[in-house]
Amino acid sequence: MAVHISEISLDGLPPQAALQLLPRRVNLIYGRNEHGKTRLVEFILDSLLRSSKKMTLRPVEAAGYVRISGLPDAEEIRFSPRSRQKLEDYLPAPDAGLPPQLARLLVVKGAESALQTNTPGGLGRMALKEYLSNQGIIDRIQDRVPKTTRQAQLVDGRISGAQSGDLKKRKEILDHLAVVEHLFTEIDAQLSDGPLGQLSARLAEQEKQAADQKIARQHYVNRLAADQAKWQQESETLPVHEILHLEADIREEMRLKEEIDRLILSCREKEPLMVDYRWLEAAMQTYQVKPGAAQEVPAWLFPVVSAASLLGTVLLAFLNFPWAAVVTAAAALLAGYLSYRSLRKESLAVASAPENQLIAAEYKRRFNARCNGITDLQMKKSSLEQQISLLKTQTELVKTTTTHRQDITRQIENRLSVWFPEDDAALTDRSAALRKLQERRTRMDAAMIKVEIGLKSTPIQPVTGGDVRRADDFNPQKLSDLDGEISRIKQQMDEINQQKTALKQRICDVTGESVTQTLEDLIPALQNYRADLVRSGKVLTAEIVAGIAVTQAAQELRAGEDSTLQSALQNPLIREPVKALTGRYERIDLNEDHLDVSDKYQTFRMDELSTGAQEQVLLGLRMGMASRLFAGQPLFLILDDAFQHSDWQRRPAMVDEVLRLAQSGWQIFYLTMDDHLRDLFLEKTPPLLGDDFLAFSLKE
Amino acid sequence: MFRYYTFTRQILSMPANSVRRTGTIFGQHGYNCSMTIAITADLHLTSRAEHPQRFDTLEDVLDQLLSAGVETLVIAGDLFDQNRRDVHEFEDLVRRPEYRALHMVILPGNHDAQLTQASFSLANLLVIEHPRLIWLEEGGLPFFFLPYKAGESAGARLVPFRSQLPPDGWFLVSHGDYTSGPAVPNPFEPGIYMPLTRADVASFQPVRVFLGHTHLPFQSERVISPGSPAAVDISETGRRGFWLVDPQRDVLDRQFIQRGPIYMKEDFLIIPSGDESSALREDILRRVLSWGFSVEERRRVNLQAVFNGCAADRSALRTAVLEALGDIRLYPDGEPDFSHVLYEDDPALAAAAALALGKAAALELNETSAVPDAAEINRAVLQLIYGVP
Repeated sequence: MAVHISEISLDGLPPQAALQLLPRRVNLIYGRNEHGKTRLVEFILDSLLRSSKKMTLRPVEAAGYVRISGLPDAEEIRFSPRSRQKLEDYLPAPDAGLPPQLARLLVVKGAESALQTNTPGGLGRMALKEYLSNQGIIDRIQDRVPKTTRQAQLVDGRISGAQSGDLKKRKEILDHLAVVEHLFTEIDAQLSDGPLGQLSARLAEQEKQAADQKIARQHYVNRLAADQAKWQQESETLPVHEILHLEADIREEMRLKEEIDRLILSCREKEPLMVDYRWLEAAMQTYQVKPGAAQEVPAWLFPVVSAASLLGTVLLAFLNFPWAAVVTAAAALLAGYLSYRSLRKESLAVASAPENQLIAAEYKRRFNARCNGITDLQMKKSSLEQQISLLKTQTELVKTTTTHRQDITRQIENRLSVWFPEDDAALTDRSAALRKLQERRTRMDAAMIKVEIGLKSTPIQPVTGGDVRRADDFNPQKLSDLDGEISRIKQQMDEINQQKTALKQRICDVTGESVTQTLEDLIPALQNYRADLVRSGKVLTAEIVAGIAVTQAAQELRAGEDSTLQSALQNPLIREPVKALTGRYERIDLNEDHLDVSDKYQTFRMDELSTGAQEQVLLGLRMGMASRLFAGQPLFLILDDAFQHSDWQRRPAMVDEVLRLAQSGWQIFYLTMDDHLRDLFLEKTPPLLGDDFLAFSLKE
Repeated sequence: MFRYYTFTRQILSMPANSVRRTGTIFGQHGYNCSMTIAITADLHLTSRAEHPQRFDTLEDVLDQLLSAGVETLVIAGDLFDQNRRDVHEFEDLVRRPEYRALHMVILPGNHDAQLTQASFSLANLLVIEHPRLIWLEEGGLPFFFLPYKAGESAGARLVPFRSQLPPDGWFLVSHGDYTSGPAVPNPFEPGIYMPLTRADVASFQPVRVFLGHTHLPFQSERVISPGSPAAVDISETGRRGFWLVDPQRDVLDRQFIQRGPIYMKEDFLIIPSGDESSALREDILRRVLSWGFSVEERRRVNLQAVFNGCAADRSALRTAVLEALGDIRLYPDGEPDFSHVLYEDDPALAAAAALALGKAAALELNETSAVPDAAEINRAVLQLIYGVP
């Protein structure tokens, strides 16, 4: 049974007050623009079909209903825009793909003809996408998914795909988020003033101990200074030069003693010479020269003559009187000889005296030498006189040296009695006393050096008369350790503060806030930034995941649509309206993404047909698809000025085609404002359908 | 160091044997133990005329303590919304004969930092003006109270008292932010207040930290925020409550406020289908059930319901929502707001949406951060299917 509209009743469709139509096989509704024609179509569609909203421009406000007859297992049913049930609810669920859109199949708008010229691939491809399947819807949905997302997928629960578009943007957000999360981790670790405060407390504790140590150090230095003064004072009682003096005196005393001993010994050795000397003096007084006969010539004569002759010789020789010189020389020799003979003669006379012989014997005994005369005695005496003189000198020297030594000894004893007032042994054992003094001085010097080093090693100056009570508390190692610990703590605190500063800088780099703000002030900005990132990240992730899901669904739906269309095109029910409309083509095939039409002899690509033929095939296909949904029953077809844009030569043929459809059982609604088309329907319909034709004019 | 129980003995002339206060509390999970201390925070009292609910909530807390035999209530900051504002109304309440046996330890927070002992005339109120360690119960762990001080961190304030903190355990009661707490900033308390960090907790080793200031109740490791017992605005959703503590055994139990509105917020995504109303009804019932509220509590709920998605029948949706909610009141005017719901009756789009939503549900997201929930993904799916922004 044909599914037809049996009644249309509506109220409130301006400018029509009320409308009550009982449609027949062919229904021509004529009206001028803005007289409710399009609204009437919208009302019908809104009442009958779910998918209508996409085709409506304005909300339907009219009240009323549309009655349908011929639905399976149902009496006539009234549909209104508010009905929950629509015609689609009487369709079986599709095996695959999306539910068919009846509105697309049953309503032909005039504007759709205009698509032909600009439709890529011709009407055949458009027919596939928009009318014969839901490919168009799927394409539109798919187009809303960004290209990058379409190629993305979930691998092990993670979004994977080319890093561009939304995926790249999302990665950037997540990277930023990771940075922010890391900053928060650092904030949690560094915002805490606990560790810093603990360091600060420890620093205060260490500094207090160090301050105590420094006080003790001051006391210690004060004590060093006092010790230094004491040692200084003690040093003055035992001056180094005094010790050196003493040491020199002792050494001098020793040396003098040795000198005296040596002189005494030497004097003792020389005492026998004194006896010999005295004997020689006596011997010389005793020794007598032998009184000779009276000298014939004075003793002095021959030496004088000899000398005068020698002088005359020289003068004469000089005055160049050689002969005279020879004579005087001979005289000089002669006088000399005579002088020698005189002296020898006298000497032999002396030695031969008896006293002299005794003296010579004693001389021989004493000096083990022969005494030849007074001359030997004199020579010996002269010789002894030097020795005697040395002895006298040495004897004198012993006296003076002894005196000197006694002075030194006195001085030494005086000094020692000062330094060792109670110690008599010190006077006797000078070396031991000196050693003791030296040791005392060495100890004193060492102590003074120690004090001096102690004073020089501290950076502070002693306070004269300062407190020394806590000097023993001073522990340089402890103070050094404390200083080291304080330094380490300060370094750690500096590091924490530097880390804080660096953290602040990094937060400011992220948030764009001023680094002059405190960390506490920066945190809310970072929290907000993190919240924005999380929000953006979630939105993008949701969009990407949704895009992946939608892409998967679209792929599945597209496959289903192809399958459904292939199956539909094989259905003979589809071919009948096509053949009825074209009068020629009896087979349509889907070949990849285009349609082929065949007559008894040939197959053509649909987009190679004439525009009119394409329209005929398309209309036939749409009607066939709709009819198939209702088990091959004819339905109603609403043509909303569908031929408005067709040229006048083709219009009669198109009206004829529509009337042929009506004859095959389809109910036709043709709404037009075109007088020519109206007249064509008025002319052509009654002869074919008689009373099964309704012509209705909307009120002006 | 200070021993409150001796203090109370002296000041309140209480008999010594009453110092050991015990009460039996039956918690939500049937827990039964001796609890002696109750802890709340952030009451933000103003005046009864302005915010009567906050006083009702305090009254409810006090009544619950009385019935449980708990005699000490610790308020971890922000008892008042502003310094010393309408103290007399608070005292009027606490002065009632039935509450005179209760002792309150009041910690000043950032909203009432100037609060001092002199602000009150009642003797059973102890204001913690300076950080101090107090034994609230003999034999139990002591509480270290750290009143709010602007511009300082909790860690820094604890340092000087480090040597006083007993090594065998102590509770910290403070008022401020916990940096490892909720990641979402609190719009009611913008900024950072006397922050306590995880490093502080690790450094000072309190057994528990009870932290006022964060109105959102939370538990994070050892840190517990009791949250505001009365929501200060509709953003503070969920059941409000306070904590009971047994300081001898470190046992805790959370109690819920039994008066006043409970604000809840739920987002619903409407997926167009023939039975969209039924689906929405079921979703609402499921959500309500998930709250775990008693019938009485449900009557106190003010639900901010946000509806998104697409639907074919607005009137059917409204009916379904109101039927499903029953006694639950929709905030603010009792009517569901479908202004964000797209009305679309295209069966092809609905079928595409159903398929895509199914695909989305099958996708298991294993990301670590910025992971959207299923509702957010579903909303994005519908946006793609229906082409709405």
